[in-house]
Amino acid sequence: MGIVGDISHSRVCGSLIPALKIMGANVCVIAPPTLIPANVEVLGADSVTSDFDSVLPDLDAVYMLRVQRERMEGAPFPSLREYNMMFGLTQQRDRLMKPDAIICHPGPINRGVELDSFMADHPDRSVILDQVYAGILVRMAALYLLLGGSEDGIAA
Amino acid sequence: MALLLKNARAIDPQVGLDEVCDVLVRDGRIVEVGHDLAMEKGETVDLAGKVLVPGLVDMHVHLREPGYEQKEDIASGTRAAAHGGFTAVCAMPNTAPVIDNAVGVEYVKARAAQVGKCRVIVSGACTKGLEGEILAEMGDMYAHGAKAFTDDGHGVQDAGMMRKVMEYASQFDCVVMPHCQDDSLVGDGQVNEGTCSTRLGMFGWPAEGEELEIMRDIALCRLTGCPLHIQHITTARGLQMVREAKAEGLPVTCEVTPHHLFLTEDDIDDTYPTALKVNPPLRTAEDARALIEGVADGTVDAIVTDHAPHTDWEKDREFELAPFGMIGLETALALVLTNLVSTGVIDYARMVELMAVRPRAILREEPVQLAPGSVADLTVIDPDATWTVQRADFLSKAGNSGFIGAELTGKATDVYVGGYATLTDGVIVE
Repeated sequence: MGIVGDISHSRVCGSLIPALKIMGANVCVIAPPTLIPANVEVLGADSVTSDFDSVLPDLDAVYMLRVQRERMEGAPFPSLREYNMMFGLTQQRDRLMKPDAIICHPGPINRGVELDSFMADHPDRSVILDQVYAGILVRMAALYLLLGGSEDGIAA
Repeated sequence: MALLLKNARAIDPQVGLDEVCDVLVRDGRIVEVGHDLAMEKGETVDLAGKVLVPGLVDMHVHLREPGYEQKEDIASGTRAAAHGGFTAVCAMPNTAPVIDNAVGVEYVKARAAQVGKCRVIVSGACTKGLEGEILAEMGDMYAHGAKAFTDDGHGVQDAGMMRKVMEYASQFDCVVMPHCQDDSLVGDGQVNEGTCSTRLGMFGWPAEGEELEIMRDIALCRLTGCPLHIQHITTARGLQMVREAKAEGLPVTCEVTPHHLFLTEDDIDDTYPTALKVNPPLRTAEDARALIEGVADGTVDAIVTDHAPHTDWEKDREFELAPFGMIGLETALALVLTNLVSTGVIDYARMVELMAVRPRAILREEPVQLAPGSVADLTVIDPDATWTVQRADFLSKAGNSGFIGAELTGKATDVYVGGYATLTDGVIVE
């Protein structure tokens, strides 16, 4: 599984990587060096790279992170254009992916930055809307348990 | 096309070669190095008494195009380079517009392909417009062939920004090349701060203005892992820092110019010679001695010219108003041969390392060796030619050399780029 984007400032990463490790995944984080935190191994990923294209053919799932559209002055990369060229999941990168590789994203998406619409809406690859639906169910279950539910919730 | 170079003393430390032999070139590559070589059809050149070395590379040159074509352009600058014995130069990005995007990189490459008399390796800016505030599109420039990144002429003032530059560049296989100058210390400095500045009554450019940034950038090299190449180092202490960084195992290299090796602040007399106004400034005799020691002991990786052409009307002004810089492409080799090789400070093999092997390695260029399979970029030197540096002989548009009138021994006579002659008997091949 590859996680691509702002590893330094990502809350998603903090829980996603340990969760993926519990599930037995091999995790690779992919980002420009300016978005990789110091001593990145602390996060628990198996490998780190800035060369997206070199690892993309090996990935079963590509988890794209949202890029903050911050002020470009002092930004960790030169332009959204260059970010998209080097780290965006563009239509051209489709041919580098395994035929059954899937695309995840925590949402909301910056179309044209980390994900091209072609990829975000890809009928076979994109599971982003499934993630959203699953997120609702997980939140419902968590709230039910926190509010005192003890049964499986279905009978109630 | 075949080319047979006969009877030259061929010197290449990369393959342990130093003997009189023949070199056979076919289709731009060396196919054989040996004795009594012959071929059926092609051009044979007798180079008896000459020295043949891998083509020289000057990794710090201002070709001034686009934007400052009155000073120099890619046509005249590469002619000067070939005249001086070089087969390749690395062009600095402080042009107008600044080479800070792929369009600029492609422009310089295209002009060089059209009018160049040597290869032109393109370096890109680290920050947009050399302003030190926004990262330049280094990834796009790298993809279009930029081989190194530098804010030469300015330096990146903010340490945090420099960290970002080096961190970002570390994902590519290339060096960041800082021009080390802390503006808050250098201010309007004109000459080395000390005896010279007080004697001439001019603002000083202190050694510390350079050394602090060398120290900073070595620290950032340690932090980011980005290969660092310190440009035109001029002080003994700065060089010592590089020596220690290398001993520590950091990917740090450095370069010096002939003018910082062979001229000192003492040469700036009360005629206020603006040709000697350079940045960083000429330092003390003690510094120059330390640099020469570094050239001999291996601390210095490359000798470069920092060829910085200016028009006469720009230089023929009050010292404070004249721009910094001097030209060097057409004198560098002879200065090194006269002052370092003839005197025994270094041998030819070391000269080849400093002016051909290491510059290519630092710029991640394919090595050129006097061995079968290598690209035939070659420089032929007449080691005994004695000549006097004269303004009229320069092919550069500019004449702002600090060495006019110098009597030198040794000169490039023939230059081949990819097997094609660019210079024959000291004359450019049109």
